[in-house]
Amino acid sequence: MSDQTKPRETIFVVDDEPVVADTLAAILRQVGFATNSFHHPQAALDQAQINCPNLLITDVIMPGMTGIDLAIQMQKVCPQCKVLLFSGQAATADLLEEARTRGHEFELLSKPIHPADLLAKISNQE
Amino acid sequence: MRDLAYRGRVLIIDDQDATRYVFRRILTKAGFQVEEAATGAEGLSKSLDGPDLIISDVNLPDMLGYDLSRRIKSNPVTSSIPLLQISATFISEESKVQALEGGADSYLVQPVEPTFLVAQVQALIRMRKAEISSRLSAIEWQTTFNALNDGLALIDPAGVILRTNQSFLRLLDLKHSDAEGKKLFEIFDSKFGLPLTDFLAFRSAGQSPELSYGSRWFRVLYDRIPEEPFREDAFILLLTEVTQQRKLQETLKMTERLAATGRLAHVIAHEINNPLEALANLIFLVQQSPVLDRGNRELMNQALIQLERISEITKQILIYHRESKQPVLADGTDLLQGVLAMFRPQMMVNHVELITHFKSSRPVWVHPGEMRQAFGNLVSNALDAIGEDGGTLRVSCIDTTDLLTKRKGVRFVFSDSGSGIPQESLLHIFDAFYTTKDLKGSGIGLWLTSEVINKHRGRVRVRSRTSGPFRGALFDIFLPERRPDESAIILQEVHS
Ligand SMILES: Nc1ncnc2c1ncn2[C@@H]1O[C@H](COP(=O)(O)OP(=O)(O)O)[C@@H](O)[C@H]1O
Ligand SMILES: [Mg+2]
Repeated sequence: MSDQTKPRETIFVVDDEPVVADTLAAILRQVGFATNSFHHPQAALDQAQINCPNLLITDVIMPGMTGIDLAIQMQKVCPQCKVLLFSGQAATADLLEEARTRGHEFELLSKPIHPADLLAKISNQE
Repeated sequence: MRDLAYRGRVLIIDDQDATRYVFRRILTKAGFQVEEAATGAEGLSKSLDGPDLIISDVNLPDMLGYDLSRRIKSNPVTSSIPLLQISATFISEESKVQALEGGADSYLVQPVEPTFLVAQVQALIRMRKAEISSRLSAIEWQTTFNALNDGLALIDPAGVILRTNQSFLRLLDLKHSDAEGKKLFEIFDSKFGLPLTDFLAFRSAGQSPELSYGSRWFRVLYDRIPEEPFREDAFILLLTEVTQQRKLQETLKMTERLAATGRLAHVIAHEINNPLEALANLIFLVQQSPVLDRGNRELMNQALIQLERISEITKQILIYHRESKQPVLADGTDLLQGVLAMFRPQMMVNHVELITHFKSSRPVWVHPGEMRQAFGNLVSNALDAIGEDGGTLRVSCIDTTDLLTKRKGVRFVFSDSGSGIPQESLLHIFDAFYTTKDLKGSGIGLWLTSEVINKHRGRVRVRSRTSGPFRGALFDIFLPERRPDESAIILQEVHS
């Protein structure tokens, strides 16, 4: 468990597959993060207006909004928010490339990722 | 000459002046122009002027009537001129037959009734005109239809082939004598291996099956030619070669199928990835539980390992179908290991021992997805050749210099202990759609592999033994170290 005296890092987990979002949030909670899980990208954006996360972990291909668009909008609301994308699809490479040409550089993890590896990635982000 | 319409020119051959005189009178009165000859020899030479009809006595001083007729009929210049033979005295039916066999078209006995003579002459001349015009139209038909690329045959109501054009004969490897006068159903049977009745049944069912002969494919049209009302109908058979279209279509179908398979694999892999992610998380959560005993914790560990195996497979599939437009600098060993990982389960099940020898440190420029596919096809073929009873697959990867072109690069060798490739197959294994595996094979594996290797300016070599202790096939691939465009320049240097 992390130091209780300093404010806990807040992580938003967004995935249109509820089990994926919820279990990932649970794992992160176990290691001491304050986590919110969302099944719709818009819900995460709405919550960001109230409370900015330190980190956004989001699926890429989702109905309504891609994870990349979500990340770009999120960083408008919360400029300090870091982003980790994770996706099971190869097609996301194109989306990522497109984001890059628009000046946004995101790290992409491919699903499935071992939770331990994910935790290692997150601690690197900090 | 009277103002009667010109009705034709008649040559009279008779040694009797009186007979010639009578005939001339009768015929000129009826509107014919008349030439005369008193001997057979004179008659023969005048016949070359092309009269419309020849009347000849059977009793000439210099030759017999049927000799004359035979000579007229055997000369191509005069053979089509109708010949009417007249005998001055009554002769036997036998002589009449003889005269007709010599080629006379008709035979009359003196004394001849003038009106009867005129009627006979008119009939013979009319007949000839009809014959000439029909022969002319036949020639026209032939020249026009020989110019067609489509094969064409005219069939009479009894199903006998009347005429064909050159294309028809060429397309079906026939000689004139094989076709004309023969029954259509025989040609159908022997060339298309399809009973004509079956074809007609298809046709009346509204289908138009394409038929094949040898390596050619045809669209076949068989239709009635409307004739005069009282005649039975003749048929026309039209063969249009569609081999090229068919080949194109098949290639398109195959490409489409490939693309569809790729897409499908992609979708499946992705669909599997989400539940896999969830599963990994769930197992991880269970593992974190403080109440889990040691044994169960170990079981959970095992579950996670199995899960990773599935993840590896889906990852490979996704990489497989990912399009990379630019070549990248890749490590040959990494490429190979990725490919071999995909086949590990199959090797285990089929007791295939994998012996690897990786000694390469030289990166190569490749399109990784394509190269994986190329290697994958070689491994897959090797496993097919080894079968289910076990064997050995040796895979090596070493730095090398191509002896022929002096290019530096990497050599990949796949050698199996399978059935080997018979000599006669070796020529074809790189052909698209060549397979010896019937429905289980597509025949595109090696074709694709050689395409990919060529695109990378590499080279494939095969060696094979079908018996003995070193039985099996060996595929030897060379990939140059340089970028494809650079090596293209080098290749040109070598060739010039
Ligand atoms: N390693 C091998 N051992 C024996 N035969 C082989 C081997 N590799 C290829 N072949 C032969 O070459 C043919 C063509 O191979 P390929 O193009 O991959 O098509 P497919 O595997 O679908 O038949 C195979 O059907 C087989 O007869
Ligand atoms: Mg194959």
